[in-house]
Amino acid sequence: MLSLDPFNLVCIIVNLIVLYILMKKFVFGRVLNVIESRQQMINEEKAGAKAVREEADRLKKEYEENLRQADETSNRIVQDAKIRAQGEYSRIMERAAADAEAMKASAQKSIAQEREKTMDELHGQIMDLAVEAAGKIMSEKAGPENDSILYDAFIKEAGDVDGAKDE
Amino acid sequence: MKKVDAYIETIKEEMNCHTVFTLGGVGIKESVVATLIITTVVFLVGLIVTSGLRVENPSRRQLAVESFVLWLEGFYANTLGEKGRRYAPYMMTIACYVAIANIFDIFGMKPPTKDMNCTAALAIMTIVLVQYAGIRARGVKGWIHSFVEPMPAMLPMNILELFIKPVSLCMRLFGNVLGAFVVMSLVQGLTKFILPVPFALYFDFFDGLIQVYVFTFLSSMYISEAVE
Repeated sequence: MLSLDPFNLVCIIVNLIVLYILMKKFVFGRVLNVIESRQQMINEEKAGAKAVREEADRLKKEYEENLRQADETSNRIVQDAKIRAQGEYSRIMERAAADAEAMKASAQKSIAQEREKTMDELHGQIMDLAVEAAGKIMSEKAGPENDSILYDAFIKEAGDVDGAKDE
Repeated sequence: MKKVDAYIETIKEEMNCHTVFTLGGVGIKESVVATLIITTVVFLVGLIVTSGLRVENPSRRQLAVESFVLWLEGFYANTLGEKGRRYAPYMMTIACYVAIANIFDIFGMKPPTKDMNCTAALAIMTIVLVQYAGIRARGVKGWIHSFVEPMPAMLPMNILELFIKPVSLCMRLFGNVLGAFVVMSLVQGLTKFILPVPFALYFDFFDGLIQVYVFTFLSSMYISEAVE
C-alpha cells in the first residue's frame, strides 16, 4: 500500500499513456473534429448566404437605377412628343388659316372676274341693241309715234337681255 | 474483544494491495489490473458513444456527448490558457480515468488510486508533462531560466517545487481515496444494509469526484504556469 514498486508503476504509466493516445485519437479527436467541421460548414454557409445577399442587393440597386432611368427617358419622350405635337398643331392651324385666306381671295377674284365679264357682255348687247335701233330708225320714217314704238322695242329687248341674264 | 480484533484484521487486510499474479518473477498488483480494466472500459465506452458521429442531423446521444466533451475541453482549456490548450485532451483522459478509479469501490473492487503506485504514476506523468510543456513553450534556455524566476534567490525553492508538486499531488489523491476506502470498509463492516448508501454518496462520489477536480485542476495550473 505504501511501498513503491517500479515495475507496477511503469505498468500503470504505460497503460495510461496508451489510454491517452487512444482517447485523443478515437474519442476526443473524433468529437472535436465533428464539432469543428460543423462549425466550418456553418461558417461556409454563412459566407455563401452573405454573398447571395450582396448579389441580391446589387441586382436590386441596378434594377432601381434602370427603373429610374426608364422613368426619366419616358418622361423625356412624352415631353418631346408634347412639344412636337404643339408645333405640328400650330403649323397645321397656320397653314389651314393661310389656305382659307387664299381660297377666299381666289373666290373673290373669280367673282369679280365673272361680274366684269357679265358687264362686258351686257355692254356689248346694249351696243348691239343701240346699233339695231339706230338702223331701224334710219330705215323707217321718223315721228313721235315711231319714237315711242322704238323706245318700247328697246325697253323690251333690254328687258329680255336682263331676263336671260337672271336665269 | 475477539470480534473487534477480527474486524480490525479484516480492514488491515483490505487496505493492503495484493499481488494478483506473478509475471516473470515480478508480482502484478491489484491496482495494475484495475487500471487495465478501467482504461479498457473507458476506451470502449468512449468508442461506443462516439460511434456514428454525424456533422449534420446529430442524434440526441451525439449532442449529449458533444456538449459533455465541449464542457470538459472548455474547462481545461480555460485553466490551461491559450498556450497550454493542446494539453487539454491529456487532462480530459486523466480526469476520466481518475473519476472511474475513485468510484471503483462502488463496483465492489478496490480503487487503484488507493495504491500509491497508481497515484505516483499519475503524479510523475504530470510533472514530466509540466517540464515538457515548459521546454516546448520556452526552449531549453527559457526552461532553465524559469528556475531563477522571479529572482535568483528562488532557485532552491523552484528546485524543491519540482519534487513537492508531484509528491503533494500523489499523496493528496492517495490519502483521500485510502481514507474514503477505510471509512467505507468500517461502515460496511457494521452493516451492508442501507447505511453505506449515504456514506458511499459522500466518500466515494463527492470526495472522489472532488479529488478528480483538484488533481486535474492543479495539474492544469502547473502546465499553464510552465508555458506562460
